[in-house]
Parts: sequence; structure tokens; C-alpha cells
Amino acid sequence: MEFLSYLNYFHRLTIQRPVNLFKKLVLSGVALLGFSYSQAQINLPFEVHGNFQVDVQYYLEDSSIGAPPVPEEVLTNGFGNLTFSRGNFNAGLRYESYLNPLLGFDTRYKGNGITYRYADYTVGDLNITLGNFYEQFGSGLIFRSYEERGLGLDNAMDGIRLKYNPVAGVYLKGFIATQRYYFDEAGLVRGADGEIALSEAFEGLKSSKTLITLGTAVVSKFQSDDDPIYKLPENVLAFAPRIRINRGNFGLYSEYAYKYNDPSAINATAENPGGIYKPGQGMYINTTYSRKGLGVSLSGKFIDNMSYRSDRAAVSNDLHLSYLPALTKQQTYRLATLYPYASQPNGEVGYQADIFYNFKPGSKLGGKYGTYIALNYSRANGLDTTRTNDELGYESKFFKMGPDKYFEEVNVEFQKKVNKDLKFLVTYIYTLYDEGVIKALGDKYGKIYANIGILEMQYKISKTHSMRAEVQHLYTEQDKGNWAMLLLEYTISPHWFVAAFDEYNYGNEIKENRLHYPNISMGYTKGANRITMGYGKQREGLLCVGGVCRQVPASNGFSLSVTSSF
Amino acid sequence: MKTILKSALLIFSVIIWQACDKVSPPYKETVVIETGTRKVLVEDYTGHKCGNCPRASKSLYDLKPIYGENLIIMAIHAGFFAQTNVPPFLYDFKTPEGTQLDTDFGISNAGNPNGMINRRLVNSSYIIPSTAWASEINTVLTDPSPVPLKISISNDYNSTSRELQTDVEMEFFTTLSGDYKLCVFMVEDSIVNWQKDYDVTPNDVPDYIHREVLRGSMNGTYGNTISETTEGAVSSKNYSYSLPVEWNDTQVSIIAFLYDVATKEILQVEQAHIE
Repeated sequence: MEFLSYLNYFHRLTIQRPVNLFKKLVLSGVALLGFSYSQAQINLPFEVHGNFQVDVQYYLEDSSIGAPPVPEEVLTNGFGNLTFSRGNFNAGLRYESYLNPLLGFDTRYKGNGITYRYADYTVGDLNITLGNFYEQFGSGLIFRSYEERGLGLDNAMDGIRLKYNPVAGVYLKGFIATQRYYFDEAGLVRGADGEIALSEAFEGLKSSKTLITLGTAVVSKFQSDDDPIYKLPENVLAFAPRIRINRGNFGLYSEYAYKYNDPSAINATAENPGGIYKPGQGMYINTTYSRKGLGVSLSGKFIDNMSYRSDRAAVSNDLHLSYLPALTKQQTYRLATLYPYASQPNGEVGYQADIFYNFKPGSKLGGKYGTYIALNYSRANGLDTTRTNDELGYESKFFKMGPDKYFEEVNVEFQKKVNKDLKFLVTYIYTLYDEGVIKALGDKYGKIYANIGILEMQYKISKTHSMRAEVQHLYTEQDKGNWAMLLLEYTISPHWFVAAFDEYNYGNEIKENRLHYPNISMGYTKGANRITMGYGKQREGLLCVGGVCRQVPASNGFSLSVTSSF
Repeated sequence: MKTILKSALLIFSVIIWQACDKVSPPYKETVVIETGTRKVLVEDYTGHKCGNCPRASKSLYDLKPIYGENLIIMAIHAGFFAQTNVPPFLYDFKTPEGTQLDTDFGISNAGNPNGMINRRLVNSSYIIPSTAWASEINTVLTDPSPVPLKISISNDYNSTSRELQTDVEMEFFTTLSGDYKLCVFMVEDSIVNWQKDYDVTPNDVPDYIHREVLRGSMNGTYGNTISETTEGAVSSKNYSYSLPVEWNDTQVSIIAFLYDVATKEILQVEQAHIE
């Protein structure tokens, strides 16, 4: 009952069956735990490994935050992987179940099935994969196949892949495959990649202090042209040479990408609704310097019409071939994730500088336990383009920033250990976020300027008991105004944790929308099994990718998550 | 062995390098397409707050000169972007039937714009992104297999009483086995009202012309069962409806289609103005 009064502290709940449901969740959690204790030792002629996760959410209608009624009341996403290996042979499969998919996931995931299966073996220098595989060429500018389960993104390949290592320092890869599309497949993709590590491949360079690796990727996709009006390229090729240089504490990586004419849903314009024929270009450069206590990283990125997918009509997160991540700091604090930048595949120039320094213990600023300072600056602008009145769409200049600033962020982070049990982390973030561009919402949505301050405290009470608290505040005059957040987390290692936080949109211009979004969760971990359960309210969001927008509705409800591996 | 593998990979790389088509201008083709008696229904799921939707709609009407009356378009306002909670987007284009279809096929969940072409499955999905509509329409309308039936609509409308009598007749040319249903929907063309359109500035357009908007059904979301579907059979159904005064009756037409209950695929569709 204490649990519920705690909930009521945050807001007045009008739930009809929370107690019963909570009991049910606890009971089923306990039942599952009991199950894991009875794991049997299996003697097989091969090794078997696996992992498993299930997320169950019980939804309550809540008109105050705009959470819609969910007819099924309970929704579930789950999956399990099994791998079998013996010597140079591996095989595996993944079973996925969405009954029905959690809110925010595409309903095309509805159902069950084996979505990933493969056999893989190595004979001498040659490795062969039959079935599904994930692969990445270079930094992924023209090809990366990967999964991001939590976002409902999985562009696994299905086909044949060869990896060949003919001599030391030379790595060759080639594949022909289709790509996952929910519970089906689409596209036809061919790819090859070669890489040579000069210092490994050439005797004369073995003692060189400068290590150079060169590589090139080539990818081509096929899709028939059934369009009644446009002459569409059925085979679209992209290539990407790259170089990596390391010397002592210095490192440099650069990759350039070129894509031939590829009119698609993503580069469609009002004048060319089927897409433009301009070739695409991209470039990524990163330099790093690191020594004990100091790290510096400078990066630059140029993207010009580089969305590359195995189906030209694909939108949302479907059928990606190119991987164009945002060149910004990956935020983890909750309020700092309110305005995340998303790469603009049609065109952007971005820079990022990241520096951290550790003042040694005993030094003036280091104090007894040392002091950590990190700075991060990132910025992304649109391209400098001139519209052309033809099917090529526009002209652009290589790596030239245009006048429109899409995103800018300054991060300052400071960590200080006061004594052996107490540590403070202070973060300040300034964000400029062009909502109209990033969320593709049009001219009514302008720039949002936000200032975020975060104080985190970690306190070790005893050998096994520890506490963590976060106070976050976001200040903005735009969008929904100011937010405040408080988080408390208590951990009894190695088994238990309990956490509670509340996000409060106290600065909303509209009085009725000054809402609390409370969350509480607890978890139990034993060995490789982990059970987490919680209750909370989630904000609604709008997800726009490539000209198609969908609403991720707000939700209010109980969650249960079980993960396990063996 | 190694030489063979090396040359194999080299050959493979060369082959991939060849797999590139560079299209040179003109990018558009002059097309004359032989369309038969088969017609296609495009369900364009949209909303007045969906700024990317007008472009999708425009791309459909750009196909009209090619396919003429064989291309039947129905705009369905449903989901988040069809809500009427933000001024100036207060006119309610939604219908219970449209909302039901949108939920059942998961369209606005996948985002807008999106649509269905004869409710055919493509890569196991009914949801077809707008840039693939032209290809899928072409696939249906150039399908050489025999057309299984013809639908004829005759309307009798009294503009004073606003009472509409609609007779739908289906003539089967081949025997269809399985369960089939007939849906009779009403659409209204050229409704002038607010629409968000990212292709124009400012984005909020007060006098946007909403084309062929689903207004309602004469026989529910999923229609009536048609039991006589053997070769040579002629089935007919009669419906009546009194048109709300809000509708501009000079712009109202009937869209009738027959679909396979098991696959949901639409086998034939017809459209006729009420006057």
C-alpha cells in the first residue's frame, strides 16, 4: 500500500484496478523468477547460448495527457535469440512476438515469427554466412545493416555473405541479399568491401609508427521501374573510399561517399514529387588526440542528398542502407533528450568538438580525488543550394554551410568527487533546435532556444547501499515552456533497485497543460536474469522521417520487463 | 584455390560496378497505356493538419490524364492529423467508416501520407507509401489477367428531398469462389477548407480544394455479402440515403467496390455521380 500512496502523492489517479494489476504483475514476476531457478544443465554436442526479453505494458486511458484508450489494455513486445556453435560453425535464430505491438511501434509488427536465422562457418581464410546477417562498410555512409529494437528499427539482410582474408592485412567482403521489412523482405542489394592495413600487408611498413588503413565499399541496389511517367534508374550504385591513419596519440578517419541518381520518397520536392535525379555526396572526417587524462575529438560531416534505401518509396525507418547519425552529443539525462537532433539526409553540414580533461588528484584543481571537465560543441546547418528548374532539383557546393542553422548545442560537464562516498556531477546545456526543419513541421514552428541545468549526486551509503539523485531544469520561452524534473534512485547491490522521478511541465503557457509525468520503477537482478516493473506517464511525441509523420501517443500505465540470458 | 577465390571476388566487384543505371534527360516518358475494363481504387489516408499530404494527393491527380476513369481516388481523413482540436483546422472531415478502416489497417499508425491500392498486399503490407502509388496503380491497371466482373451504378437523386436511390449491378465474367462483399461509399469532391501544405508559404492554406473526400457509407464499413459470384451471374443491390444538407450534392458521387473477404483485395470498383 505504501507504493500506491506514493503514487497518489504525485497525482490523483482515477484507476479502477491498479491494486489487482500490481498484484498480478508481482505474482507473474515471482513466477518467472522461480522458473529461472529451475534452469537445467543441458549436455549437447554443441554450445547453446541465448538471450530473451519481454516488455509488457498495461495501458490506462488518461485524457489529461492525451493518452488514448487501448482496446487490448495489455500490449507486449518480446524476442529471444538462440545461437548454436561448434568449432568454426555457428547457427542461430531469433523469434519475435508483438501481441500486439506496444504503443509507438508500427502495427505492421503485429504477430509472431522467426525473423532472423543464419548459419555461418569458417574454412581457412574464408567465412561464409547463409541467411540473415548484420554488416557495416566503413562508418556506414553507404551501408549499415543493424537493429535498434527499442525504436522498432531492424534492417537485417537475408542472403549470402562471404568474408575473405587472403593475406595478412587484406580483408574482403561481398554479399547479395534482400532486406527485412517488418515480417517480410524487400529490395535486392549487392555489396562489396575491401580493406588493406598497409603496415600488416607490407613487410617494409611493419615497423612504421604511422599506421594506415585504406578501404573502399561499393553497394548497388535493384528495383524495377514500374512508374508510368518517370524513367527511373533500376540499379542505383554508391561507392565510398575511406582512410584511417594512426600515429602515437593522433588518429584520423575520413570517408567520402558518392551515390548515383536515386529519385526517392525522401528527396522528393513539390516540383519533383517522385524525387530528384541529382547524385548524392557525403563526407565524414574525424580527428582524435588522446593521452592520459585528456581527450580531444574534432569531427565534420557533409551530407548532400544521401538517403539510400533498398526501396525508393520507403519512408519512416524502413529499409535504410545508408547510416547517417547525428554528429551531436548523445544525451542521457531526460530533459536533455527533449530536443534531439536528427540528421537531415537531404542536406546538412555539421561540426562537433569534444574535449575532456581530468585534473589529477593532488593538483590544485584536482583536490584529493581529481576533477573531470568535459566540453562539447556541435552545430548543424543546411546546405548552400541554388534551385534549378529541372529534375536534378538543385545545385550545391561541397562542404559549404548554408545560412540556415538547424541545431546548435553547448555542453559543459563537471564531475567532482568530494570524498570517497560522495560525488557530484554538474551539467549545463544550451540548445538551439529548429523544430520546423528537424521534425519537418513547416513554417509555423520556429527555433526553440533552451537552457538546461542538471545536478546529479551519487552517494554510497554502505558497501551495498547507494543512492543517486538528479535535479534537472529546462528553461525555454518556446514550445511548452519550462520543465523541472527530480529523480531519486536507491540501489541495494547486487540485486535490487528502486527509482522514482517526476517531470513537471510547470512553465506551460496553457494552464491545463501544466502537467506532471511521474514514473516509478523497481528492479531485481539475479545473475543473468533481470525483472523491472514500474508505473509511469509518458509524454506524447511526433516522429517525422522523410516526409511521413506519425504520432507516438502519450501513455499512462504499468510496465513489466524481463530480460535473461544463458 | 586461393587464386580462384581472389578472381571470383574481383569478378564480383566488377559485376557490382556495372550494376548502375545513369538516367539522362528527358527524365519523363510519354506514355500511352492500354487500360482495360479493370479499375483501381486508391485510398489516400490524409488529414487537414498533415502538411506532407497535399503533395501525395497532387501526385495522384497527375496520373488522371494517363488512366482517366480507370483511376478512382478516395481521400480518407482519419487519425491524428485529421483531429479538429487546433484552429484553424476545425472542420471535421472524419467519418466513422474512415476511422474504422484507418485503425484496422494501421495506416495513420504508420504515418501520413500513406494509402492502399485496391487493398493489395505488397511485401506483406497493405500500406503503400505515396511515392509508390504510381507504380502500384500501373501494376494493377496493366494486369493482363481476365477482369472478373463489371460493376454498374445507377443513381436516382431528388435534389428537393435530398433522397438518393442507388442500384449497384455486378456482372461476373469468371466464377469467383470464396466470400465477397460489396461496399457502397459516398464521396464529395472539391470541398474548400483549411489544409496544411508544406509546399506553399504560408503553410496554412484557407481555401484548399479537398478532392473526393469520403463522406460516408450506404452499407457500413465492410459492406454486404454477395453470394452469387459464378460466371454469368448478375447480382444487384439497392440502397437509399438522405444526403445531409451540409454536403454539396452537385459534387457527390458513389464509389462501389467488390472485395475478397479473405485477402481484403478489391477486385473491381466503379464510380458514378449522383446527378
